[in-house]
Amino acid sequence: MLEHSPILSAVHRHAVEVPQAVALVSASKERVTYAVLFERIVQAAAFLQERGLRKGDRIALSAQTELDFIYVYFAAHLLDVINVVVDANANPKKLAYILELTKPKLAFGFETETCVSFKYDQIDYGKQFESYDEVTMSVDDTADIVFTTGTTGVPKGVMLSHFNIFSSADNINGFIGNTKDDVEVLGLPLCHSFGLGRLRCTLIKGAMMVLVGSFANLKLFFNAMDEFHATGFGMVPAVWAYIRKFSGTRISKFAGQLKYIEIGSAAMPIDSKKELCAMFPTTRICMHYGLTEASRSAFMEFHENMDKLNTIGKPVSDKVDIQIFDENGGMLPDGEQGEICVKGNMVTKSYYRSEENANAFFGDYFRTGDIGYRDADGNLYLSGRRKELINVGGKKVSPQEVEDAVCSLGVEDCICVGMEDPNGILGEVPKVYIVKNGTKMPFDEIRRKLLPLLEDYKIPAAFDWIDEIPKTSSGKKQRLSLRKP
Amino acid sequence: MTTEDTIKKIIAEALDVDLEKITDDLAINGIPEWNSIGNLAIITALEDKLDISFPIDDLFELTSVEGIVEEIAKLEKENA
Repeated sequence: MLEHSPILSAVHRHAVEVPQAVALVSASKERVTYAVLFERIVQAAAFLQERGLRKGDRIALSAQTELDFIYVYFAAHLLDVINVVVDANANPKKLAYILELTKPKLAFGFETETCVSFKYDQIDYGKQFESYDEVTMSVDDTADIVFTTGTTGVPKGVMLSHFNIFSSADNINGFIGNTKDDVEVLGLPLCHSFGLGRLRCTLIKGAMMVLVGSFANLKLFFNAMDEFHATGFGMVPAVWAYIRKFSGTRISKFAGQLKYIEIGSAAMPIDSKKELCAMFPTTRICMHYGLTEASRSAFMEFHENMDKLNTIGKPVSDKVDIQIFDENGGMLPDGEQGEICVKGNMVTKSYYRSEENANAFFGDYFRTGDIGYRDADGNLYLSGRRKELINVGGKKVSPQEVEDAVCSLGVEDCICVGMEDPNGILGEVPKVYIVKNGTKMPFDEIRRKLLPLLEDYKIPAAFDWIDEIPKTSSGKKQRLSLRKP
Repeated sequence: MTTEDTIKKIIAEALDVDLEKITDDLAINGIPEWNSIGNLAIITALEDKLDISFPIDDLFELTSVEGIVEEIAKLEKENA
């Protein structure tokens, strides 16, 4: 049973073996045991069946902390229906593009005119589950389509199979050392890869997750850590800066109980890494390197790498291989700089639009677009990026998308680059240089007019004039030349 | 003494939302814009525009509009 979905199979096993173990605690402190979780998943699947959903169909769903999101998400897996997980706060144009491309039959957690949409409290859990043919379902079928920021700003759909998402969770648990006794407080949103990945890690181990949905209110987060005696949590580096700014060293009172902290999605300053080591001397502080297409490819633990805190680590497990390639697809020896490429059980086989696969792989190795090298001990180091995406607190911003939005306001030409966040929280933020005499609009007015066009984290934090936009001989904007190291 | 209306106006501008959304009982996560980035924008704007500095221990407790108004009144009284 459930052979096509090893994650659901694990949840089912926990429901049978430890039915009363708590799997989830909602933001309103509702406790859901593994028995109830599995029952709810089956009931949600019955609801999807009743709405005519079958293997290969797609549903779109968005969420922060809703338990029903989790039931529907796994109900889709049960039926081999494909989840398109979206952020309902994404800009409407981007959301419309994703929905137009994937043509979901139903949407949950947000309103759309593309298809019938449900609020999570409209799900009827009283339907009768109909038996279905599992024989046609495979672990290699697509479970989720996750959209990632393309270099041009057009989102790219990454197809992840049941095997991919289970393998990723299994790799992570292996590295971090998660067990069924863990209790994790999740402040990351569920509709993003990092948060959803943490959920999958928790559930395959039979552990417990407390959903608080956000780090914004640190008081709530700390109260949950206290009340449920949390053993771990995940965060992006911007969250660490936020925690330090808004609560000082208060978090160190949990040092004795925290077994692990997972960090990822953006670079973290070395000083922050040292600070974490000092505040959590016995906690496994694990930082991942990865991307949607090759989730958590490499890991490093801070205490074990005090002499080389700038490494991104080694492959997460023996099921993953990372090599450095030259631009012609030739494998490079240790010490030589090239493109970091990843092969492994969690690596996507394809983008949703197959034409996007062109140049995405060297053989079985996915091309990350990041430049780096490997030392003689096998430690990997990042040294640059081929792609020009700006990493705003873990969220990727296409400079071209920002430039297009600015130019749509009647500005003659501009160039967008990443700059260091002056508040010291987000790592990078977008800055736009506008060609001199290219507009009569004041910067404030440009900024205000961008608000309905771009998500908040894409709004430029600074504007400046530039005499001439640096371009290559072929006319391509040279954004990296304006970027401060 | 900074008025409640002035504080609410600064919060609304920091979050880029209409002033009427900034009610007394509005708290963090009460509107999508008041997330962690919004919270940072609020605190930075208040500190800059009112020339005050929130002590870290107090920052941790500032989770609602009402709380922020009370905190600013307290700080201004201390500094008077």
